[in-house]
Amino acid sequence: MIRSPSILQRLKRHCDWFLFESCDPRVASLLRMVYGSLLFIYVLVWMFDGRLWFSDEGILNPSAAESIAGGYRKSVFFFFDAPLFVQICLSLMMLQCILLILGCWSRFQMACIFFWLVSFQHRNLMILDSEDIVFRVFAFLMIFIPLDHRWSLARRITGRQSDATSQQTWALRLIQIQVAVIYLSSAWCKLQGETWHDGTAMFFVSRLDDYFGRFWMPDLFEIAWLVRFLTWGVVLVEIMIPLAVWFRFSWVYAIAVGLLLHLGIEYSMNLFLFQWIMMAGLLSFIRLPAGAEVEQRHVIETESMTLD
Amino acid sequence: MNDPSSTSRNSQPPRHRWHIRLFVIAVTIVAVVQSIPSATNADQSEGPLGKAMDLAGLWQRPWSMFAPEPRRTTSWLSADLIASDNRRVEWWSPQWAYVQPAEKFIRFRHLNYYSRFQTPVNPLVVESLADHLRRTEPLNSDVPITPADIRTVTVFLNSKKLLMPDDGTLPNRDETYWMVSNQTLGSQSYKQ
Repeated sequence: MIRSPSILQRLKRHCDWFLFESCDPRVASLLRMVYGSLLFIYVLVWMFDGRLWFSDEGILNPSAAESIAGGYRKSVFFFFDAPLFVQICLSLMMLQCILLILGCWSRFQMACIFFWLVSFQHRNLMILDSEDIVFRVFAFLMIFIPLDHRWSLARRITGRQSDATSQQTWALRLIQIQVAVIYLSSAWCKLQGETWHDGTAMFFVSRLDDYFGRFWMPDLFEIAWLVRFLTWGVVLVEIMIPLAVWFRFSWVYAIAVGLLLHLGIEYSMNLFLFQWIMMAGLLSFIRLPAGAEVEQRHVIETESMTLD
Repeated sequence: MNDPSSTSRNSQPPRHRWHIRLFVIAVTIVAVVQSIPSATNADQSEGPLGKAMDLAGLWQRPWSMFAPEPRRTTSWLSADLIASDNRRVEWWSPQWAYVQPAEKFIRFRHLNYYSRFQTPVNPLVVESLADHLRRTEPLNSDVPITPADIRTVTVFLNSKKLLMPDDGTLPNRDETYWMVSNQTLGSQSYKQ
């Protein structure tokens, strides 16, 4: 007699499939290159004003920086913040960013990048916004992913093939969960505001002349029905994406809508790299078609299962 | 989701897998707890979880992009640098509405920095800005003055707040009314 598995066993089975058997390591390598490219621009912009933002000759002296950071946010630049030291560290971070893009010992580079991001961000919290948190949290999570599985210069030079499978790519799920949390939290915050309820929030956003108005667009934000449509549409999309993106039948639509949302904001607003890092986050959900390598591995695994 | 029944064998040791499962659950809980908006989340770093995450560099906060309400105020800073003989240097932060998109992109950190002053900031930040202006602005100025000549730096926050018509209609850009205001953020004196 065959006993059906208990609920707990089935839950564990689903959990194992979710974490260890369904993530594509090629997506991790793709994410590595996209993240690395965005970080390259991010660090480059920091380098223009590294002395101003992070050094003792800059706009925020160390005691003020420590004071606004609070007692628990630490930074190496609270102790060493001579302009030359700051520039050397930024240059080192840039070098590691390039090595990350090229796929040279990427997990080590990512661990160092996380350290640099924490240190630089804590040194000057005044210049940060949400995208900095995304960059930092992604850096931490990507330490646990086999980033050099594909498109890796180090592997090409050494001739070593990657043996990474979906079993080692479980941390990709953490990035996906983080992306979903961002959308849901953002929608939740908006639902607490009166203007997001009455549909006028996007009007006020359109009048923020420091951030809004990047490229030309007709002034449509005085048309009440359109403003309501956009306001409620944003909230709806932010609720819909983190729910729909997990399912096979809807992930493509969720990502497409997410890309449209972010490209629309990117066109109309000056928010530096926030839209791009969020689009990189959506990239973690894509399902690449099975290549010859994956099919070959599947055959081997199927054969070994049969033999078992 | 995909059907998990089409599975392959588990080659990782069971103990190792349990560590990973627990780690994933912990990271997820931390991310969710830190991202939940609430009335008391003004400073989430106060709690033990917040302190631990601050220390680890893994802090995050509710993702309140233009929420709960988009701000209605646009601000810019100015400062008066006054020498002992009353010579004066004026400084203005950029008027971002008139800055080109490419420059805004490159100087985005400046935009963020000056925007932070729209919410109350630590007085040490204003003092630090005053010190910086004293060191740099006389050198950029047409007034023949050196940093050592500056005795007082006063920093102002200038704001314009969007006023809505009483009838609740959305005004077009040309008919929008703004209330302009000005407040002193801080004044820093320097001895000879």
